[in-house]
Amino acid sequence: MNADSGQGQLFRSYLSGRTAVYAMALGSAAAFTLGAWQTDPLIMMGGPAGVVAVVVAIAWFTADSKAALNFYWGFANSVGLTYANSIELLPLTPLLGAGDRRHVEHWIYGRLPGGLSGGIGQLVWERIERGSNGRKGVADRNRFTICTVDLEASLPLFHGVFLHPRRGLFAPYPDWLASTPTRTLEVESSRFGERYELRVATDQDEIMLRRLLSPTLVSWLANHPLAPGFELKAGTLCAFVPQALEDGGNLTAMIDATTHLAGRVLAQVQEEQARVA
Amino acid sequence: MTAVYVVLAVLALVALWTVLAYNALVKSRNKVDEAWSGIDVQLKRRHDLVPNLVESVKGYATHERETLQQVTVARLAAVEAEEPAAVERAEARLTSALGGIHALAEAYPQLQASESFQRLQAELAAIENEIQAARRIYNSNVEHYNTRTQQFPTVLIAGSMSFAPRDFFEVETPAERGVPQVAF
Repeated sequence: MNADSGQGQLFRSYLSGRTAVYAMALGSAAAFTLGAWQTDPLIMMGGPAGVVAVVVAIAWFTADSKAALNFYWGFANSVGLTYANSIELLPLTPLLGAGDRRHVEHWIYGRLPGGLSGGIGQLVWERIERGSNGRKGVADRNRFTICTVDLEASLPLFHGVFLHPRRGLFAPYPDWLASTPTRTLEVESSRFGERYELRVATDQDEIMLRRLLSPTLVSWLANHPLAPGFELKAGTLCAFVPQALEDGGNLTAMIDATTHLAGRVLAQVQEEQARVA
Repeated sequence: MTAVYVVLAVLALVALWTVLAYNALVKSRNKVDEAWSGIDVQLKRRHDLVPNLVESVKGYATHERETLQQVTVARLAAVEAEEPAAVERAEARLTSALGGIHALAEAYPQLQASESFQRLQAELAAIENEIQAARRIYNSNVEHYNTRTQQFPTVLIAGSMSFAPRDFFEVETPAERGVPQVAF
C-alpha cells in the first residue's frame, strides 16, 4: 500500500460522476455559445476542449489527494496512531525551523512503539526570496519525511547533535544549518563518513556524544537502508530522510529507526544518571 | 609558447591530482588507525570486566580453579598483545576461556542465579556486541583503504610512498568459524 493506491479507481469514479459530467456538458455548451456569440471559431472549438481538460485535471488532483488521505488515515489506524491532515510543529530543532515557511502534511501522532510520544509526517519547507522584479516568491520547496520523539530527559546531556546525510556538490536542497553555529566532528567509520556529516552545537559535550555514537550505533547507521539523519536538540529527537516516503513499509521502517535511535539516547541518559548516582 | 603553457597546465593538474590522491590515502589510513583504536577501547573494557567476573565466580565455584586460571592467563596475554595479529590470537583465546565460565554457570545454579554474575554477564554481552561492531567498522575501513591503494592510478602513489595494505581483524574462535550443521 502507498499514497497512490486506489488513485486510478477514484479518478475514474470522479470523472464518471454526475458533477463532472454536468460540469463538462454545461461548461462546453457555455464555451460554445460564447464562441458563437463572439463569432470566433477558435473559442467554439477550443473552449469546450479547455473545459473538459480543466474538469479532468480537477478530478485527477482530487483523486490524488483523496487517495493519499485514505492511505495515511489507514496507515495511522494500522499502527495505532492518530491522523491529522496538516499541522505546524514548533521549531525545536533546526530542521523543524528550516526555511521561511513550513508545515507538516499527513501528520500521524501518538504513542510510538516503546511507549514514546511522537509522530511522523511529511515536512514541507520553503525558502522565500525576492526576485529580479522585486516581488517575493518561493525560491525552493523541499519535502522531507520526519519522525519526531519527545526526549525531555536528553535535554541536559545533548544540546545539539545534527547528523545529516552528506550533501555533496550538487545537493538538491539547501543547507538549513548554515546559519546555526556548529562544529564538525569525524567518526572512525569511513562508510559512515561517506554517508553522513556530523555537526554539533558549540556547547555540546563531545565525550557524551562519543559515548552515544558507540560502534554498534555507528555501524547500524552506516548500513541502514533508509540512511536516516537525525537532529537532537531541546529534548526532541527528529529523525528524517530528505525525500517523501509514501508507502507503508518505508514509513514503518522510519518509525522503527526513530524509536531505535530514541532507545539509544535514553539508554545513554540512564547510564549517565547511574554514573552520577 | 602555447605548447609550453599546455605542458605547464598539464603538470599543474598532475601535481594537484597527486596532492589530492595522497591526502585521500592518508585520510583513509588514519581512519583505519582510528577504527583500530575503537576496537582497542572495547577490548580494554572487556579486559577490565574479566577480573570482576572471575571474582564473582570464585565465590560459588571454588573447585574450578583450572577454568578460572585459564581465563586469568588468557586475559593477561590479551592485555599484553600489541600487534593486530597477536591481539587477534590472544582475544580468540580469551573468548574461548570465557566460554568456560559460561559453561560453569550451567553447572552451578546458585552462580547462575547470582544478581552480580547476571549483571556482569549482561555487561560482557553488551561489550562483545560493541567489539563485533567495532570490528565491522575496522574491517570496512581496511577494505576501503586497501581498495584505494590497489586501484589505478592511486596504486602509483600508494606503491611509491609505502602505503602498505592492512590485514582484516578477526577474533572468532575456531568454534565460531565452523559451519553450523543443520539437520532436517
